[in-house]
Amino acid sequence: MKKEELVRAAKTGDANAFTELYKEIYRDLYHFAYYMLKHTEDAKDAVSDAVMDAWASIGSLQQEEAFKHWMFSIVSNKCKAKLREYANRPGELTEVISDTLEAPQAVATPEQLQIREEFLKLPESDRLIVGLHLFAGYKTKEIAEALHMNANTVRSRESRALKHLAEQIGKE
Amino acid sequence: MQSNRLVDKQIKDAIYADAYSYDPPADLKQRIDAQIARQKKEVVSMRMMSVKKVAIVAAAVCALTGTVCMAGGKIAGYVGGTRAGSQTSDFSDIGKLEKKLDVAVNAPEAFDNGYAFADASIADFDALDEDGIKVGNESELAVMYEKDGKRLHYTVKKGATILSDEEIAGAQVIEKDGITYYYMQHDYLFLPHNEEPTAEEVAAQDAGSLYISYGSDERQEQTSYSLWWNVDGQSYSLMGFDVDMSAQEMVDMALQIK
Repeated sequence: MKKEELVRAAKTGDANAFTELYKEIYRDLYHFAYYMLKHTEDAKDAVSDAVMDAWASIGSLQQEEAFKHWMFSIVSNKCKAKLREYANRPGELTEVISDTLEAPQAVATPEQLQIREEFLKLPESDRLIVGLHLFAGYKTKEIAEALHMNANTVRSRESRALKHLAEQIGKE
Repeated sequence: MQSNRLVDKQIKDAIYADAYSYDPPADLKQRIDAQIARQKKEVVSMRMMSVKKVAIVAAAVCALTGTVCMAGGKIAGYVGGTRAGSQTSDFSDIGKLEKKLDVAVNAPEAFDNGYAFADASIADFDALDEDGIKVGNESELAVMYEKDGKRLHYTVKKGATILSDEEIAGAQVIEKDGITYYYMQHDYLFLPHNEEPTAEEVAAQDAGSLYISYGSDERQEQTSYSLWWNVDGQSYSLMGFDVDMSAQEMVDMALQIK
């Protein structure tokens, strides 16, 4: 069944169709959430909450072809809410950051671990921009619309973030 | 410039390679699948219903989920379910749910006839037109009671429920203390999405003696018993499947809601 057909079926309450849809992208959603939140359990919560919210409100999705972007907009809102919680509870920040290093690393190379660590140090807005680009496949214009920013600002922030990462891991 | 682009690409590739060097925790998908399975019955589709019947069917089907839905205009069905994180089995949490929806349920912990509090939750439903486009939404607070394995749903939402003339004609009307109560019984057939009703069942549906709904895990035939009333701008209902309760017994329960 085509994606648009699956979305139409899910809108009529077909749980199997919805499962097919979310199954295809939950890995991307998780990686995005993890790279935003730096915390495996919170990333899991953000993704599962986002998927369940999507299931409850899929009837409101007007453009069937926009399912993936719609899902990412929900999960990015979940992540932003969680980050606001962190900001209001600074005492838990240490725990959050230490969890980063307990995150999956069995198969990661030292360079991968280093870039992950440096990425997670970027400001939230920069992580969002790079994350939406990388994991959701958003184009600059779409990120700008999603984050209510100017496209040039998005472009320059992403460029600055990537340059910073390159400097930190000695690529420049 | 080209060198910058090359470095950008290398960095993005490195992040991507790191992220996809591991899978999400195995229990993430299990958790989502389990949540969807739990809510499967809570998702209803009524594409085959005539608009007139949708109101009654929506209400009764939503009783499976502890919700009340009404149809109107071009609404052809409702899709939705329990709001994530809202379900509680702690009776004292009802106050928090009331605040969230700005409704007062005044639910007793137990009714005199033995139905006792089991859990409470908020349910959100989108009203869809025939093309599956959202045309409205409802949110309701549902309190579930249980007795001898039978479940009774007490639901409250903002706004009065206006029953159609057809619905009122099929209801037993009871006036008590200035409140009008509508008692109804209906036969229902719940079918999985991939199962079609028989010709006899379709004929019964067309004759108005059977309501068919889709979205259940298995084929089920049940009779709903429900009581509806409006007070102070809120709509209330008590509803249960196969609970075998008379109008008087349900009104007696309603009178215990203060």
